[in-house]
Amino acid sequence: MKNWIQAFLVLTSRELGSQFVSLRGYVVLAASQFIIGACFSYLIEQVNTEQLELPASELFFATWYYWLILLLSTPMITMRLFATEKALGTYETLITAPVSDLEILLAKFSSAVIFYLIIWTPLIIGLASFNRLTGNSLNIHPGAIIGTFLGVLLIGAMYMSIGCLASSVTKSQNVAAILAFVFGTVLFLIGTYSSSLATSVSWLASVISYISMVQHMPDFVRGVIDSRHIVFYLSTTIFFLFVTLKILESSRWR
Amino acid sequence: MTGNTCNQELMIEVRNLTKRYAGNVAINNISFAVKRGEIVGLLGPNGAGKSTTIRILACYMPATSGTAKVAGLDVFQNSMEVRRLIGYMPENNPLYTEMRVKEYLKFRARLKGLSMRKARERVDIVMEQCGISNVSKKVIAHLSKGYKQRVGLADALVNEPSLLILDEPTIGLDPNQIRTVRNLIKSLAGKHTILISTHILSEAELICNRAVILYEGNVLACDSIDNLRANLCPEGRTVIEVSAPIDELKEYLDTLAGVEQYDLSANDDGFITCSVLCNPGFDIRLQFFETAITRRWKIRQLSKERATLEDVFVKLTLTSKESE
Repeated sequence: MKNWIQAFLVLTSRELGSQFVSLRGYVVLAASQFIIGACFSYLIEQVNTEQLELPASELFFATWYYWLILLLSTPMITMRLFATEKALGTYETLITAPVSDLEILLAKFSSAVIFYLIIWTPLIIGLASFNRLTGNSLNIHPGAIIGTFLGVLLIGAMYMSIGCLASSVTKSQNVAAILAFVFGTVLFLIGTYSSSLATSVSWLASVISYISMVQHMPDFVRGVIDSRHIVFYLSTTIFFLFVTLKILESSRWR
Repeated sequence: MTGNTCNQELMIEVRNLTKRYAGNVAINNISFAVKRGEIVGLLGPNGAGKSTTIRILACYMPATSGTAKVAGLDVFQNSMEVRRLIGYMPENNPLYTEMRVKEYLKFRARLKGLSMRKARERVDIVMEQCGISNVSKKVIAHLSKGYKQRVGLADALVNEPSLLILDEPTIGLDPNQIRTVRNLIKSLAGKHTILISTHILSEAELICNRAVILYEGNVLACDSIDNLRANLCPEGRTVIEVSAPIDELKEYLDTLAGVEQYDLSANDDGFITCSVLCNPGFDIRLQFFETAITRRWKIRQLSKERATLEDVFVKLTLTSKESE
């Protein structure tokens, strides 16, 4: 058990470190910060022109800025995980070390999720300063912040697991990025159709609303923690990680 | 646990190992064994199945059929235990080039399960051993190929493995770097069992005590290098440099019954270099010397070369082709 944790921590910290030594990591960080910043200035403009009823955090996720960051940054973060290691051959030294495929997968997945959360930490500072400047007139309460970050974490984790899968099936990091982007975008777009389908086929509409991220996010942001959403994101994340694990393991018996 | 019944003296035991890739046979029913403490060379031309054999032993991929055991443990069933015993350096020595040397070695040591204290200790020892202490803070990408190779070797050594598996450790290095890496490997003899694959035969002659010769997925020979030489090519070539009319020389060599084959090449200064391969038991040198005196030929060199592994290899692969 001790060995297991040691290998996991050692791998996770190396993976996280590798995100920060590459230019790509900083480009993802900088671009995301730029978009978050642009969104804030947009919000401030909104606050100045009209009286708002919604909390600011909700307003943030009602814009397309959040989804833009989600859809674009996650493939960039995950594309290297397995594909580059396979292309460079370092995967061979990695899996001939006494570590299991599950440890490798979990370490890579965790490092990607941590990096993704780092992208979002300035949001806390943003919301806090926003709150302060406006004299708390926007009524952001701690529950809403916790809910917001839970939503960011769960949706982010699901996209990271999709990225892990995409990166494990190819040796090319570009192919991995494209696969993850296309799959993630399709999943997102299906959700946006829920409103137009609501009246036509009832069972289809309920399925789509179940997987519709655009409908889930407002709940999280309000601080409403719906167990259905949590079950949905956790189970899909575990599913994609499981498939990835099987693909990784297949190289040991093929 | 399986396989405890086997001989504890054997470090590697490969039995009837076969690996097929999508219809192609990479290795075909090969068997060999390596005793503890030996340095064994896995020899063969490119595509002979060396890397495949090594990758199966290093638990990178499974065999199609047959068994491979390391220290009595099956590489497929007890993969984790086997991986703990092995230090493996793959072909082309892949490294995380964005990391610094010491940082990388520490990472690898911790990954292989060493405690923090032990890892620090071992990293210092292997860096000293491999002569990379002076570059410990450098980023691996900025190192020369020879240094990178030594970093790979240090990584393979960091967990004090009982078996060291090196796949083409000197490929792509310049002659000086090759010499350094070879000396390094030689210095490890005695402390570890070493399996080293190479297609450079002279390298195996310098480093190894024993050789397993692979050709087109089959084991052609598996013996100590001296035995291979003695059994397969007991007579080495004789090199003669002589100043003589070339037709007369040819005629003379053709009359000698003990001469199996010879090559002649004329030098610019009028001397002819002959490389003569004689039948076992026949020494051409005395006879040639006397003939040269009577015919007034000038001799500059008259020496016998030891059979090289190259000769052994050529002979083996030729016979295997003829028998097909």
